[in-house]
Parts: sequence; structure tokens; C-alpha cells
Amino acid sequence: MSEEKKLGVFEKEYSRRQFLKLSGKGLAGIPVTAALLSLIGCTEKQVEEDLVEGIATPTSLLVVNRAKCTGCQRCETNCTLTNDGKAQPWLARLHVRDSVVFGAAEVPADYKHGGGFLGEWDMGPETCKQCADPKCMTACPVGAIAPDPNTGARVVDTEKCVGCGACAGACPWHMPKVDPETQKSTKCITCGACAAGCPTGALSVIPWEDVVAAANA
Amino acid sequence: MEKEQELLERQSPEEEAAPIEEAPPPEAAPVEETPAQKLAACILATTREAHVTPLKKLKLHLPEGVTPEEAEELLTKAGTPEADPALEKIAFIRGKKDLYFYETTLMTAHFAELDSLIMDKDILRTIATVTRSDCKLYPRPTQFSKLMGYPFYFSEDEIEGAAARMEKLEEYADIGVVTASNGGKGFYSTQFISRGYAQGLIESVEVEERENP
Amino acid sequence: MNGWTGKMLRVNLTTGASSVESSEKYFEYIGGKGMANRILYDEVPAGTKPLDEASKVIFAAGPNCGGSAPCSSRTTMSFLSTFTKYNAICDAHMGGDTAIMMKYAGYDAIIIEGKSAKPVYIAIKDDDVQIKDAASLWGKMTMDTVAEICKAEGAGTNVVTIGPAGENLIPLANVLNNGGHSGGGGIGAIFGSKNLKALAIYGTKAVYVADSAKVLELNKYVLEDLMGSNNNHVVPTVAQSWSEYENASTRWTGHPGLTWGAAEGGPIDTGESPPGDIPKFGYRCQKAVFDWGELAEKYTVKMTGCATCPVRCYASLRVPELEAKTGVKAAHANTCLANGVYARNNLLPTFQDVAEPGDGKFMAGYLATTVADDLGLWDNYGELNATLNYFVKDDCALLKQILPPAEFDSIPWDKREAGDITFLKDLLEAVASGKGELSHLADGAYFVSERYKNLLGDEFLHSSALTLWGPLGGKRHHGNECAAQVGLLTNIIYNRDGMCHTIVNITGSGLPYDLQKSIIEEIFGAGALDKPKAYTPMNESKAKFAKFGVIRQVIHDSMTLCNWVWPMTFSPRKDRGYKGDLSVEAQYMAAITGQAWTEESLNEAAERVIQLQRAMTVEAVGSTDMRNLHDVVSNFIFDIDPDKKAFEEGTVKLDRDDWQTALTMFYKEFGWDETTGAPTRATLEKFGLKDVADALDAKGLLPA
Repeated sequence: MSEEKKLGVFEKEYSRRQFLKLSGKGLAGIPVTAALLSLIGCTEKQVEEDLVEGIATPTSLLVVNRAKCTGCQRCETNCTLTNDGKAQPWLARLHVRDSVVFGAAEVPADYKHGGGFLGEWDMGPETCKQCADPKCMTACPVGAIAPDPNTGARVVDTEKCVGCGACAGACPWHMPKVDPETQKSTKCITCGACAAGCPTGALSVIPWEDVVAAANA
Repeated sequence: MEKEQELLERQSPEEEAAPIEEAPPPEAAPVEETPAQKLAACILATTREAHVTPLKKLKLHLPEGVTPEEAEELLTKAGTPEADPALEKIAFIRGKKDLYFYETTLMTAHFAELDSLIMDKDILRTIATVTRSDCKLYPRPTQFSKLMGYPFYFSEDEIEGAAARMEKLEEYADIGVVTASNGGKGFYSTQFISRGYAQGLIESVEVEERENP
Repeated sequence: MNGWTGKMLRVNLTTGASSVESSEKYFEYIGGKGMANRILYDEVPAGTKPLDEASKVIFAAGPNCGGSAPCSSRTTMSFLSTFTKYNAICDAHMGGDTAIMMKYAGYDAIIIEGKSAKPVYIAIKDDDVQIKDAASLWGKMTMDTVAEICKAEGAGTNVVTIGPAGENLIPLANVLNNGGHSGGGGIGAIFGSKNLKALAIYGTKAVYVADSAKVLELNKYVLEDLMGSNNNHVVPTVAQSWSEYENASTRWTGHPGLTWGAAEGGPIDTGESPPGDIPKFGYRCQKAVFDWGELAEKYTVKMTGCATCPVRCYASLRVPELEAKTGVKAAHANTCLANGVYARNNLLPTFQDVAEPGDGKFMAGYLATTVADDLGLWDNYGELNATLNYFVKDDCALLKQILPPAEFDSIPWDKREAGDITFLKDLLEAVASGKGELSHLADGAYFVSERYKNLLGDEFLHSSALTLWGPLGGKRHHGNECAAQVGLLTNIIYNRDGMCHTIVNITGSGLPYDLQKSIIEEIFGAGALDKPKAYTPMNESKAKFAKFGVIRQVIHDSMTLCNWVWPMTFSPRKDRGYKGDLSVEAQYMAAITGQAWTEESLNEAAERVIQLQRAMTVEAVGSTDMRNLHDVVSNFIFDIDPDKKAFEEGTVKLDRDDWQTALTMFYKEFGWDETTGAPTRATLEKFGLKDVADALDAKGLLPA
């Protein structure tokens, strides 16, 4: 990016509407400053066009930047190796493999102008939204999903989980999966393994103190 | 859109607002930095931007509470046993026009030298230094295209002009130019490689490597 | 079971039956190439021709594939070469997602045999295997085929497909998956001969690893401490503040000011990417400017590549102006010579501009790459383009002699005259059509030479215009121009282009020669590595170095890992003295399988694979005299630069007598008969291949 362009972004005043865009993605109440944009590594246009997703976890902000996703799928294997001790992308707590070829989980009619490897390359992972009012948790018939006392993330108590799949059905994005071997639900616990191994920073985890500092800068 | 709307509804304002409503942690009582520490911080910041810090420029923009005399005295000791501990990781290149400082854990002496040459604005010396280094180390001619890109950004005219001027100067008598079959050119130094070898090598890097990727 | 799935799938297209068998008996061949080669040996009798019903195609991945190691989603496919002399054993290596999908579906290998009576595709979803009608897909281009199959099987399905070239039994036909990931060697024609349009795979299962924490630790170690950029180039092309060196030839092209110019939401700067900074890793290789030049920056959306790979060597461009002007929707990545190959040389002497003055050559190359991939037409590392050029040079002198006048006139020469870049599309479509004489120029150079022997004599196969490693028909691929005899020795092992990247990734690493030499000589002895274009006569260190190159390649093709990046001979880190770590492959094998693999045991298993491949090649040649019937190299290697002598500074020319010495020393390293180059009984038995030795013996194919 040219120096000039960078300056342009930095000097820009952000409108309420723009910051609500990111707010919609979980950044309620945080002004989108130039410093914040720099911290999360995206452009004003990406915010404008809804291309960057910010997900508030109890301890950090998870940023999903599609423009940086190259479809390597390392996030999925890192997720399952870390959490399940085996490599099984299908089971991963974030989903990208089904959309790398066409940019979506369905083949678009005009696929050549769609996303993914056979289209025009737009693609990116779908992650757990860490909903304030999690449908997975409320749908669980045995109360197996509850906030972790230390991290605040809602986690599956495998002692209680009966593997019924109600959580997967209730989630609007079908993020949880039931491991066919253990018959236990999997759900993101915000461990950060996906982002730590992402070679392009398409996924990044930014601690709240840094977000707040940048928002106030 | 629908998804977004859904999210907005499902965010609990209390929870979302929580992190920023917390008062910022009280800062520890500020400890006054020493002049050496302030200078080191300045140089580090420039190093992070991938540049050396020229002493003359630094003296014009000194950190608060540091005098030009103090700066010069502290900085010229960098790299010597008498250096202030705060400047332990600061080194400098003695250029033709100035001293150029950098932080050594983030920047290599090699890059600092290149940036110093560029800041000295002596294109002949820059080209000759880079060419001799390339021919000695690799060995390979220094392609004009290398000098046209980051971090040099010389124009083709500037390079051609420099080549013409070097031909007439004794101190650059070892520097010559070879041309590949695609027209791509490179400098070489007879201190380290022969013209015939340079000719073979420019053909490799300009043409043959592209044919055998 | 850890690493391996322990199962292989057999699909018989004649009977329509499929079955699952244990793959365990092949573990001593590691997996991937080793496993596939042994299956081919066991199941396809010597003398079978590639398009016979008895011919088979084996897809295989290794124990390491699916376990998350960087660059581990490569598929090895073994089959009989369609395009080189003797139609001997040949492998194709394909990236993309096929290998991991196969593993996650539960298979180490898939054996495709028999011949269907009508067009079909094979749909695999874990245990569910079906042979489905492909009548509506026959005739379709590769990308449309993928889209159609994914509509039926799911958007996340990995589809390996042929295009019209494979259907038309063109010997240089390939298979592709995920767009531009291709496997060559003529496998597309074998698919076509079996009426097999595609293989569609979706897997939801696990690849189990013995020690997941260790695997994750190794991943971090490799990414932070060992791996550079594409081809494991460990030095950036331009100086960066953290770097001690820069070398304009490397593929570490990313740097401040160079962007992914057409990224969604605005340009993304590739910036500095110092060793250890994982989130910056994928910006090291801005491959678009490497492949296409600076004007491609603004068209760059991002880099893509194979599953599990952090390097991202597929320049992914969006060029709407090209579609507007030509109607060809090119948005396609490839990784190597295929990029722009048909716009090199003289198929089109001039190029009309598309979006700006001077962009015609780039646009023509980009268009032709997309068209070739869509047709499923393999370039054979540039051989097809070289052959076409050979026939169109001097005002189509040769072409006019081989084409009937009507066919010659049917080619739109007026477009060529005008520099209309769609001429390349028309030409490639005609080549892939299987109709007329023109199609025979894609038979492979050896068969082209045989067909037009009267016109071509011996000159064609031996010429620098073709740059084959030898008259067998394999393209030179990192041969004598790469570390002298060392590179060329890695070529003669195979029945196609060698594709060994172990050596070229060292010479091309970007490090200064003296530094390379000190690290390499420490391992292989004095004199192992010559200066670029300043060669010395053959010596034993070079023979050991060449053997290492081949053995590592086999380890990678068998584990599976990408030999285009591995091994980690060097590192980008100054604090390591730029030394890499050659034990990492064994460490992965141990962590993944839970077995006590070492560098030595892995080398031994890989050498078993090479001994078997050599024995299979002896069988195909039908003689022990490999030196004179197989390992013969092209004359241009000794005759280029007529005003220079071999071993003079400035040339890559080799010497004929010295080359014979090189072969002898190389044969000795492998325990082959030093006169003929055929494996001896003692050597075969040393690697547990007594049955192979007995079979050769029965045919009189063991050296005296």
C-alpha cells in the first residue's frame, strides 16, 4: 500500500454508521479509530463493505479477515489436533473446507464469478460467534454447555453431554459438531489454536486491553 | 444482512460494553528516562520503520531534555566499551556525509549499510559497493532491475548515467556492465569475477532461470 | 491406527465393484509413491500398455498426509507413462486437496482398474463408494465438470477430473483438482481410456496421530525456524531490515511496497516477513510478480495453494479486462512453467494489447494457461510448447509438411498474424481435440520424433530447442544447469521429467555460494557443490549429493510432503548459521505413527522404493543395459556454447567422458552394476526385494 493511501485512512474521521458496522459484528460501543484499524490489520473499505468480522470473546477480539484467507485450511487441523488429539477438519470448531472451492457451501450458478479456487478467490472461515445469548447453550437438553469459570467461554461438559446434536441443530451457523467416535459435542472454547497457526493473519486474536488502548488512541 | 441483524439482537450490551467501561489500569509513577534511553527509543522507532537514523537529522528532532552535544557524545560511543548500557544494542555506520544509527536486534549491519548508502545520495558509491559485494559473495552481477526496486528505487536513466560516469573514474575502474540476450543488464566487478564469467551469469539470472523455473 | 488409515480402496470399472483392503503390507514402502509403485508392480504385468484394460492407476498418500505437517497434501499417482519411450512406470504428483480428502475418507490408496463401458465418475464419501453415470459430463471442460459434480456431491467435494484432452486420449493429458492443481505424465489419457471422467472425494474421518502435541510442536518449529518461502528459498529478493542477504532470483518476493493489489477491500502490503513471524509467513511469496512480472501486482487478489501449505505459491488473479476483450474468463492459478508457457517463444510473434500498452504477452500467457487447464492438456514442463514452436518456426516449414493442406488452412493464421491472443485458445483446442495430425504434436517428444523420423532425424530429440534430459522424451527439469552432474543425475532416474527439487532448492536458496558450500560439504564431502556456471569434473561427493537429492524426493513423495519445498536443508535464520534440519521428516514420522523412525530408516525405506522403480524400469526396457538404453542424455548438454569448453567459467556445458564417470559413480552409490546400471541381486535382496530379483532373474534381466 502506498504511503499516501495509508495516511488517508489514518486521518479519516469515522462516522457513527461506520462504527456501527463493526458493532454489528460484536464491537458495540468501541469507536473505530485509525489505531484500531491498524491494530486489526484492515482497511476502512473492508469495514464499510462488511468484509471483516470482529467477534468478541470474553478475553479478546477474534478478527476474521476474508481478504487475507488463502484457503490453506491449517486452522481446521490445528483446531482438532489441539482439542481432539487427532486431525479431523470436518470436526473443527471453525469451518472453511466446504467453501474453499466456490467461496460458499453451495455452488453458485455463475461459479466462475463467485468465490473460491474456481471463482475469484474470495473465501474465509466461519467461526463460532461467541453469542451473548447462545442458542447452542439454551438448546442443550441436559445443560452440558455453560460458561467456563476461568475464560468465560461457553464450553461443553463432556460428562454431561449425551451427543444428541441439539446444539448443532440450534446454532444458526451449525458450528458445533458431534464427534461420531466420542458421541460428544465439540464447540469452540476460544483456545486460539486456529489463529496462532494462521500463516497470513486472516484469523487473529487481539487481547481486549490492546483493543481498548487502540480505541482510545 | 439477516445474519448481522440476528447478531445485533443477540449481543448483550452489558457484556459487550464491559471491557471498555473498565477504567484503564492506573499507570505506574512515571520514571524519568535517561537521555541515552530516550535516544535509544528514537533510534528503535526508526529502525522499526526499516530505516537508519542520520545523526544530523536526529539532532534537529531531539527528544525533550537532550542537548545536541549530549546526543553526539552518547551516540558516538555506541559500540565501544564506554557506551551507555541503554545504547548497548545501538550501532552506527560511518557514511560519507553522516553517521547512521540503528538498533541491532531488528536490523542487520548489511541493511544499515545499504540504507546509509542511499541516504548519502552517492549513487556511484552505492552501485559500486553493492556490485562488489554481489560479485564477491554470490557470485552474481548486480542486475539493473535490483537497483530500480526497493530499497534503492533508482531510475533507469540514473543507472545508465552512473554507469557512464563510472567508466571515467579511476576508483571505479573495476566496475563494468554486461548485457543478457533479453537486453537485461548488470554491473560486475573485475576485482572478483571476469567479464566472461559475468556474461555467463547475467544470462543465467536474466534468461535461463526463467526458462527452468 | 496412527498416520496410515491402514486401508485402500479398489474400484473396478469393468465390473462396477469396489472393495476395501488392508494397506499394511505396503508400509515398508512408506506410502504415497512407494506404496503406489509396489501396487503397480504387483498388479500390472510388465509389457502392459498404458491404455490397455489391464493398465491401472494408483492414487496414494502417505502416513504424514492429513496430519497437518506444512506442505503435506500432495497426491502421488503411479501408472504407465503414455508419452515416453518404453511406456515404463511413471509418477505424477498433484497438490490441492485430493490427498487429504482421500486420507480423511479413510484410504491410504485408491486403485482404479478395468474399463467402464460408458462414461462414469467415481463418487467417494467415506465408506460410501459409487460409480455414477457421467454421460452429461463427457465433453465438458475441467472447471465446468468440477462445478457440475460439486452441485451433485456437495461444494466441499474434491474433484479430480480430466478434460477433453483426456477423453480424446491425448498422451499429454492430465488430471486436475481445485482449478490448476495438475498431475501429468499422461494419466488423463488413461482416465479417458477407462471412460473415467472424474474421481470425487469427500472425507469426514480422522487421521490419528500418536503424539499430537509433538506434531504441533514440530509445525511451530518448521514454520518459525526452518522454512523460507516457495522452493524453500531462505533469502528475500530485496533487502529487508532483518536480512543479511538479498537475491533477486528467489521466490521470497514479498517486501514493503509490494501488495496483493486486487485484494477484497483494498491492497494488502506484503511487507517485511522476518523468520519466526507466523502471521506474516504467507506474504513471503508474492508469486504473481514472480510468475508474470510487475504488471500482475494490481490483478493479485491473494495467493492460494494446497491444503496444509503455509507458503501459498498459486498467484490468484482477477483480470476482468481479459474476459471483456476475449470472452475467456481467466481467473486461474498454476504454479510452475505452465504459467504463461504458450506465450513464450514464437507461437504468437506479436501480442495485441488488452488493458494497457505492452500487456499482451502477459494476457496471452494467462489466457492460454487457463485454456490448457480447462482442456486438461499437460505442458510437460514446456515440452508441448517447445514442440509446437519447433514445427511453426521458419514460416511453419515442418508443420506444412505434416498437416494435410485443408487442416493447415483450418488453423486461424490470420489471428496469429494480427497478434490476436485468442489464437492460442484455438490452437490448444485443436491440439486437444484428437482430430487431425496436429493433435499428434501432443504425443510426447519421443513419439513425435518416431512419427516424423524422416523429417526430424536425431536432431529434434537432442536439440537445445527441446531441452529434454534425454531422447527417452523426459524434459530436463533441474538438470545440468543445476549443480552440474548432480542435477542431471537426478533426472535419469525417472521415465519423465525428474521433478527433483532437493538440489535446486539448495542452489536456488538465495544464500551466497560459500555459505551453501560449507553447509553442503559438511554433509557430503569436499567438492560436492560447484559454483554456478563454474563446474568441475565429477567426484564421489557429487555422487552422494545426487543420491541424497533423489532419496529425499522419494521420502517426500512417499510420506507425503512437497519436495518443491522440503527438505529443510537451509534455514532463513542467521542465529542457526542458515543451517536447516534434515531430521525433521523422521521426527514427523515418529510423532505421527508412534513408530521409531529415524533419518536412517527413512532413507532405507526410500531407497527400497528407488530399487524397485529401477527394477521395473529394467523390465520395461527389456535389457540390463540401462547406461546405453535408458540413461542416455541429450547431445545439447555437451554441445552448447561451442566457443567454450566444459568446466570453463560461464557455461553449464558438460563433458561426454566425464558424464560416463558420473554414471559409474552414481551406479556405485546405489549398488547397481557399474557397467550397465542395472540393480544386482545382492542390492535388491539387501532391500528385501528378493521376489523382484527372482522375477528379473527369470527374464534374464539381472546383470552378470
